[in-house]
Amino acid sequence: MEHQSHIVTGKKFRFPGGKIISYTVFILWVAITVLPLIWMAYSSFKSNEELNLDTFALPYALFDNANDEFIVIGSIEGYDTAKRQPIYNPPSLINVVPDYNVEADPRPRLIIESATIGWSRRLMVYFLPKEELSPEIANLKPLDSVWVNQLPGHIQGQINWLTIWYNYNQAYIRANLGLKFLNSVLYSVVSSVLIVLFGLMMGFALSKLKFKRLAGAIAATVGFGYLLSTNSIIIPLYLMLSFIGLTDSHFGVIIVYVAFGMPVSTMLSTQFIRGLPDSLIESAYIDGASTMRTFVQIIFPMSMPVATTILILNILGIWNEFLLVLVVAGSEATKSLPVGVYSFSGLTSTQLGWQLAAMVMAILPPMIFYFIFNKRIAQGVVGGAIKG
Amino acid sequence: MKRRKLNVRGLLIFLLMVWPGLFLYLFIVTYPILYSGWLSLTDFNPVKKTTVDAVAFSPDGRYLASGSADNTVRIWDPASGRTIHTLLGKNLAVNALGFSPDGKLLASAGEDKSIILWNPSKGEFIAELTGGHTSKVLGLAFSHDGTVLASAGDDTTIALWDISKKALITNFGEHLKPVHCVAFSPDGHLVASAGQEKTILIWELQTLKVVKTLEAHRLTVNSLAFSPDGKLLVSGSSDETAIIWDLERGSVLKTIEGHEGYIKGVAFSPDGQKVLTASDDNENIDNTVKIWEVASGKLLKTLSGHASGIHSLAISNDGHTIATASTDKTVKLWDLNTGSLLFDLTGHGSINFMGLTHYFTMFNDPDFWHSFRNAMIVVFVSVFGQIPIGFMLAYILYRKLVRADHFFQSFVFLPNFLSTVVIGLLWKKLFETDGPVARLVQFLTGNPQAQFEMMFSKDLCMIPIGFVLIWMYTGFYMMIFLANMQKLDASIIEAAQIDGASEVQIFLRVIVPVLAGSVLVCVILAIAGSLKGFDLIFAMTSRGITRRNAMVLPIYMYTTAFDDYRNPLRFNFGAAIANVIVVISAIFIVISNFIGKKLGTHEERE
Repeated sequence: MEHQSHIVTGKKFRFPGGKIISYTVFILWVAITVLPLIWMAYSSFKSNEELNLDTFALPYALFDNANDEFIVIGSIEGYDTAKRQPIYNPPSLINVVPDYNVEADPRPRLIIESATIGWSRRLMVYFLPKEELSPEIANLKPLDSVWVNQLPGHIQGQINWLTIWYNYNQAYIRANLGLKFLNSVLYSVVSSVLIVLFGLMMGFALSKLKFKRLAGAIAATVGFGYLLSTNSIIIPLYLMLSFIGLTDSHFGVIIVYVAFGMPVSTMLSTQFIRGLPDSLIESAYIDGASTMRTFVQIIFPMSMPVATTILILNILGIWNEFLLVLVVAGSEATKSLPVGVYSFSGLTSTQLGWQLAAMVMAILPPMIFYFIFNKRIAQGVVGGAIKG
Repeated sequence: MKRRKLNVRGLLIFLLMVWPGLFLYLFIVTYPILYSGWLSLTDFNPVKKTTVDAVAFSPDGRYLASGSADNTVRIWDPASGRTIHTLLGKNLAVNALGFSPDGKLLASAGEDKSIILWNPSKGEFIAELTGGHTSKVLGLAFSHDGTVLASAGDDTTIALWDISKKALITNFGEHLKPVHCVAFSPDGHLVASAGQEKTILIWELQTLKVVKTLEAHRLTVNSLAFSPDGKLLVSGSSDETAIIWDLERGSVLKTIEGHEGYIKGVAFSPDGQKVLTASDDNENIDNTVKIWEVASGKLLKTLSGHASGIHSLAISNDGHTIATASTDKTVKLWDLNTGSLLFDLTGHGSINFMGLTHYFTMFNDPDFWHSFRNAMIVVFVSVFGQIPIGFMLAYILYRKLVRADHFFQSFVFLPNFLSTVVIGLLWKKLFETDGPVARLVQFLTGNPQAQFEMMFSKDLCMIPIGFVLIWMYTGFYMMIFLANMQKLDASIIEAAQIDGASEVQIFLRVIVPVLAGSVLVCVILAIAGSLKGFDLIFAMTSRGITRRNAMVLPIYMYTTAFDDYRNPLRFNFGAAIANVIVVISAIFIVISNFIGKKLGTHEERE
């Protein structure tokens, strides 16, 4: 086989211009794939004004921040323990939320806001301890200007860094992407592991235990589910889950994923385990092992190839699944990454930079995963699809 | 004996291994399918309540109508106590009912802001009056000549409707709080309205000016009724009193005290001698109807029997029968003279079998056909776009026509692996009217005004979407074909080459026929996937015009069931759409299987 294919591919290809067309097609295809992703990646470092000004220009404003102008909007003079709130000067500062615990650290601080990014909208606000500032700056009054290069070195460094990652920082905090990432991991990993486990158990029972008729009936019932997806029965599913109080809970989402993973998982593992030699099981019986022991110690380790395929297929599918979580997860606490990014993009429609940053953060982990396990994933996806 | 024992033990182990997966599957997958089928044939809605909130007699006394929070209006025969019609599918939680004086129209209204007109004798829908209220409708009244309908709204206004034109005349009001009830005087000159504001306003219908303000109630006024001669007005309030007003002088004639609950219903007997009041008590002490003599203010009778509060009261024009609607899900009919219970009408809250109504509604809905057309475009793009292109790309890689095949392969397959929603959002940004693609067009054509407007066109919006679909999923089919090509016995190609076959001939005569089985598998996958595909198009469009343009069947289902809150049957209708999607994909799969078999391919499952 190896030898023959070598001969064929070694033959000269005889279709005129075939090479040129092939290269053109593939290079164009890769360009259409990669260029939008690259555009998204570098645009996520642009400020909103830049994005509106020139769509294709490279990011500049957020990187060129050494001479940015900041405007003093007031100061925190301490902490009022009686009223349990910071003492502001002027007292009525609106929309200023300290990003640190004022009670634990009541040092007087100067509040400055960037004049370049969303001025007066309190989008980029810093609380600088007065004792670290030079006296002239510490005594500035509201509406006075201060430039970044006038500030002490370590504060400059901090502001430079935070300005470059401005979009990412805002998106991560505002969309609570950390929690949503964990939710996505929880959904995909827990569901997939259960799918593999239950699938292998089913596969073993249906292929190696001698209840042919029952096994056939169960296989047919479960096989029917291959035609369906959560999308087709989302309405009764939603009503049922809300009736038993499982909407907006991690458990409810996971059991749905596991149930919908069963058809493919059962089919793949039944086929695989049926292919394992019976003699293995018989010899285990002769050695006195029980059925359960045979499953755990012999079948399970030998099924690792098919288990990996099922695992990859399901992790991929569940990570990208959208509608179920969109409908079932009502609160922020149970939303997955795609739903989180989607609703974030709806809520902040004017802040394109933040949206792009959120999208990059959502797309990066699977991309890294993809390029590390490239070959294995491709085989898994193709194998799963064909056998289904 | 021994053998049997072994089997039982074996069976137990078998079931032990099977049960977690099978149980979840049956519970989460099989059960909802049956549930979905059933939902689509009924009006079952698990979130609705079943209190009966409104009741009205037709002027000739032949019909009694009752409206409930279960989204239905029932028309009963007061003589026999049987349901004649169940009117459903239009109202959301009926709060108010009114018969026209000629008895040919029944108006019903509730939380859905609009007013529905029905034909009570045939039980048919006639018209929907919309645009008068911005919040739920709480009260309805026909004028005595039947030309004008007044509706009282939670939005603090009163709307007047022209019945012959079925259109809004005007929307007026000086109330500052929700208006709960409205009534016409028998001569048709005056309108009375009242609500949470406690004061009762008397309006002149011609000028819509307030002619009298009646103040005495301490809490919300729930119900109003004019006496038959038009000289008196009775009002029932949550302050547990009813007041009979002298309209000439605009003063209190009598205050009726004796109820221990909110008075939600009041009525004059047709002879004008008696006043009826009905009470709704949270603590279930006083859920009675009391009958009072107008002249003396004396309590004549107390009718008790409802298990919980009474929300509405009506008296027939012959003055013999009283109907009460209660939160205990029943309507009761009483004899005014003897005070005895005539009928206990139960039926509200029961599930109505609707046959194939939802399916007919769907097939008459232009949105359905639009999304069906779009779905067919998606199927076409998948089957005749993604699969052939994927096949060609796989062939190029298989014959190693390009170097770095692994690099190309990874990148063509990459979009499959990225979150569909994020990809959709990215393309939405790229396809914005003035977005990167538009800028690119401006740059290439030199026209600085060029904009990308395809997403806003009903006919063209599937072009960019089809492009993204091909870009996204072709890699998947390419990988499948490539995997199958690599399993081929290379000697076939070698033999063809020795026979002098050209590359095109090899491709068409050798490779394509051998892989016909995997093509069929891919076609089935593509059809099933296209018909249930939701995320990509959903994310590429935003609520409103672009999503309506690019609507496919699952989006049609989603918007029906989860966005259209005003539709009382949204879940049932949505379930019907879901069933149609499953049936359509099953039909397509059977057809493609059939064509595949006719063409002599056999599925290769390896």
